[in-house]
Amino acid sequence: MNVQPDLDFIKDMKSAGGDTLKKCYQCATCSVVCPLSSDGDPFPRKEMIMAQWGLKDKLIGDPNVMLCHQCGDCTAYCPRGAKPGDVLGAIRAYTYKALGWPTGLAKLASSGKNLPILILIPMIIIGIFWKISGSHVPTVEEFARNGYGHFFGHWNFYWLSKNVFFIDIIMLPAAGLAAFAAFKGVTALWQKMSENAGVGDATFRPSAIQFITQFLFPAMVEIVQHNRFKECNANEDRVKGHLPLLLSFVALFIVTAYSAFTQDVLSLLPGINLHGPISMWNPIKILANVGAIALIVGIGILWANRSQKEQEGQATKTFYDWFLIWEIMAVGVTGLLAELLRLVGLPSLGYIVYFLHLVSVMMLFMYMPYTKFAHIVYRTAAMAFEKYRQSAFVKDPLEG
Amino acid sequence: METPSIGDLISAVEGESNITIKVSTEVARISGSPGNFTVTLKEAGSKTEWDAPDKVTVDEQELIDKGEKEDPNDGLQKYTEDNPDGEKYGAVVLATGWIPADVSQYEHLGHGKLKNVVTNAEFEKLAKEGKVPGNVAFIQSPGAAENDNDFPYCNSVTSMVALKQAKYVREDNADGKAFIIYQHMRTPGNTELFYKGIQDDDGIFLTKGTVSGVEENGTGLTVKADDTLLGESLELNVDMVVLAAGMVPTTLDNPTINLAYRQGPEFMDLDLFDGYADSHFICFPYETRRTGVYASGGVRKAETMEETIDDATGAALKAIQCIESANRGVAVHPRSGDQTFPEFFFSRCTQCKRCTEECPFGALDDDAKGTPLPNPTRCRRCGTCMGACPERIIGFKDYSIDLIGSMVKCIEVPDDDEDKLRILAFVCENDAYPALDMSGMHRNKMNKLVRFIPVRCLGSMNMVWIKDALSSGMDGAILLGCKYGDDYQCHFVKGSEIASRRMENIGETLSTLGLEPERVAVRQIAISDYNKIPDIMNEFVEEIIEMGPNPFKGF
Repeated sequence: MNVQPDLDFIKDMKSAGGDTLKKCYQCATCSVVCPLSSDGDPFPRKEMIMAQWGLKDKLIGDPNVMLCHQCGDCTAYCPRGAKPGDVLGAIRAYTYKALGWPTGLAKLASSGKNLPILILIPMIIIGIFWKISGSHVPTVEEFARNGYGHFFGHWNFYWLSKNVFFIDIIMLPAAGLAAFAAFKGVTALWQKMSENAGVGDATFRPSAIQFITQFLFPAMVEIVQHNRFKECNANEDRVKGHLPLLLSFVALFIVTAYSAFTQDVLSLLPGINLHGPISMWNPIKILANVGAIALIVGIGILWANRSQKEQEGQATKTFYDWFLIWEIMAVGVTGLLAELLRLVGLPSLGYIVYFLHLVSVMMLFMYMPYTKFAHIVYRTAAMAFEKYRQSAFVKDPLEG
Repeated sequence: METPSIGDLISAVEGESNITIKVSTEVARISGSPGNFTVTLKEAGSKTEWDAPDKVTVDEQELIDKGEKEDPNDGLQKYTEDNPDGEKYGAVVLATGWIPADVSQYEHLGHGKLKNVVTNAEFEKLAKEGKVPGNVAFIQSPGAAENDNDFPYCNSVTSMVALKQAKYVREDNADGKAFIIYQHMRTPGNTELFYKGIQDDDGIFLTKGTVSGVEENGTGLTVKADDTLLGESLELNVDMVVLAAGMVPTTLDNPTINLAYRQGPEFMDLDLFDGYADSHFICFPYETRRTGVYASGGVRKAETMEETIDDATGAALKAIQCIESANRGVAVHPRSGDQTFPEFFFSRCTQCKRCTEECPFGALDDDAKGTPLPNPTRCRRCGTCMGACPERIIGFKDYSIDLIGSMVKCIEVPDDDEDKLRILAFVCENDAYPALDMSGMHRNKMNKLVRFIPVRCLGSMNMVWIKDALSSGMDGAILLGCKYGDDYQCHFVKGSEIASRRMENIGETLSTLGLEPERVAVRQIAISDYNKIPDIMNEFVEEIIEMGPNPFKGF
């Protein structure tokens, strides 16, 4: 291997939470404690020296980097304070940025000093559309009757409600962009992982159905079960936060899917009026509320854990980690608060909070492929890849 | 990084009125003995009649006398001659340092063949003259097939030098890159902090690795290394390659000290010490095998400035101790304060030269006839001469052939009884005897047929004591002494080695008398081996019991 260290990459690592990376002296204590490490592949010892040597191409396509869920054991046992866990986090942050598309947005979303811009973009977009829709501010009675259903105004014909129409034209492109960027990124990652793992042109490729049933679905089951978190020692409390958070995302996804179905599909049929707000005793509403509380509790636990780790010096404070925590907390708090304000009946304040809720949700969608939230797709892809790599499609079962 | 302090130190020494400095000067010869050395100085590189003569063996001298061989010392004063114009000194500190090693023998690294492959010393010169290139590989070990060794004469210094020079690359170049490929990164003690600091630099890349070769690559060089920490073989394109050449002590190829001693102008058995002048790094630091001559700095080991300063202090203190002891007429070390010295009954000397040959410290010169000329202040009182003398004419006031002989004769020998044998052990009092003592304190059991006599050093073992023991009916004799060889532990360097050679000789004598040579044995014991002593002794006793009693018993 002809080696050309990339000094900028090292600088990048150091600024993204991997400032301790150069301290590693390759004792491999981390590899001894890490469940991902194998005899032939000392992880994360090798990744540490690759990062020290600025070998970014090797690192970007390293499935183990994505499979690491930062249990913190390596950092806890590191005799040199090199914090391998944080370095791996920084490598992931760099990977999301490097694979991100469009590049400008990916770069923008990766640095803490851009935070005001990151918040302003959705604020301006949503603000403009609110203005266009007629700058609607309800009376107390209207608010009690319609809730936030007329945030973007109202029109009287059977089709999408004006509100849903506006939310769709804001959120669907944002989510679409994110989905496309994530797809592009995951494809690129898959290709790099295949190259690094020496998966050449396989004679047999799995069909889409085989791929989903044999690799993707088992990976998702594993994610929901949180088995890997249970192998942690130093950071085992994190599962108490991550599990409710993940389940709340599932719940809220169901709620959103239901809403989309009722608002965007059923509403198109004549004679059906399913406009909100939904009754508090509707099972979907109960699921939504439970989900919201689980989300706040889950992210709250992760927030507390991370603060404590940072105080103990077991983790480095980075924008990469905190941005996601803040973002999710903002979504949860503004969502729940908006609902409470609706029930209490404070229209102006409610509208402001609802506006912020839309802003935070849009941020969550739009920046997903470039921020820590990207792990939802990249890590799933890596886990599927891990299963693929060990399957008979790649490995000759006769030769092991 | 700090600026080197050597300039300040030199001017401090120059400003000291009690210190005389002579530059461009070499030692032609040092004659005499501690407390009274006569040193002849000469201009560096010149030849004088007072240059120290090479050692000429008895056989060589015979050939020279017959005119069949050229005298290598032709035109030189005899070694026993004292230069009347020489200067008097009490003790000598040898601090002639080191020279950069020649690394062109490692052909795959291309030093001397490829442009821009330099040694660390040459790179330092470049750095002092101006800027260094921006992309440099530092090779710490010659590598090649399965070679895990560093360059010879490296110690920890070249690790530190590479780290420092890597910093030059970074300081002189905005985007400089320095690669260090090592087998061992040695940064002992506080220097670990320096290593940590250098490691933290973004542009310094370290890996363990085996360098397989350096090749030309357009205008630059390509370094290839296997078995790296990155898990695969590496190729590095660099502007310059720096080899961590070691620091060869000046004493390796050159006597340097130029002693006018019978045993020759250089230190003895330098191959035991890789050419370093120091005789035993752990037990007797700074002491060479010539009493009154102390080593410090690069002639002792490859070391840093800091260590050299420690060394100089140690060697100077030893030198002061030497002069004080010589002044009071007592032994310097290791038997500090011993007031006796070997006395010779010269009228019975046969000029066999065994004592002059075997003295580990070159204390004995000889006169024209070959009679020993003792130099009491060079002597360390080990008694090797006493053990060597076949005429038994050498002895100390408190340690003599007769004294030990009487001890042997005092031991009761069970008379002609198959069950009760008697085995005698001569034990070195420096390591083996304390070990025996400790074994007793640990309540280790041992065969009660053994009797012990402590000796000053196994080197002082005279064969006559063995003969005394066996002729008085004892059934076996064992010698317990220190380890010898390149990891020797003998206080007097050669004692136990000489003793075991003598015992091989006595074995032959015994077999001509019809006795088994195995009745006499030598065992090596370290002071920490006390728990092994009972086994060693019991095993030997078993062997003797198997052989049966001494056939001369009772005569």
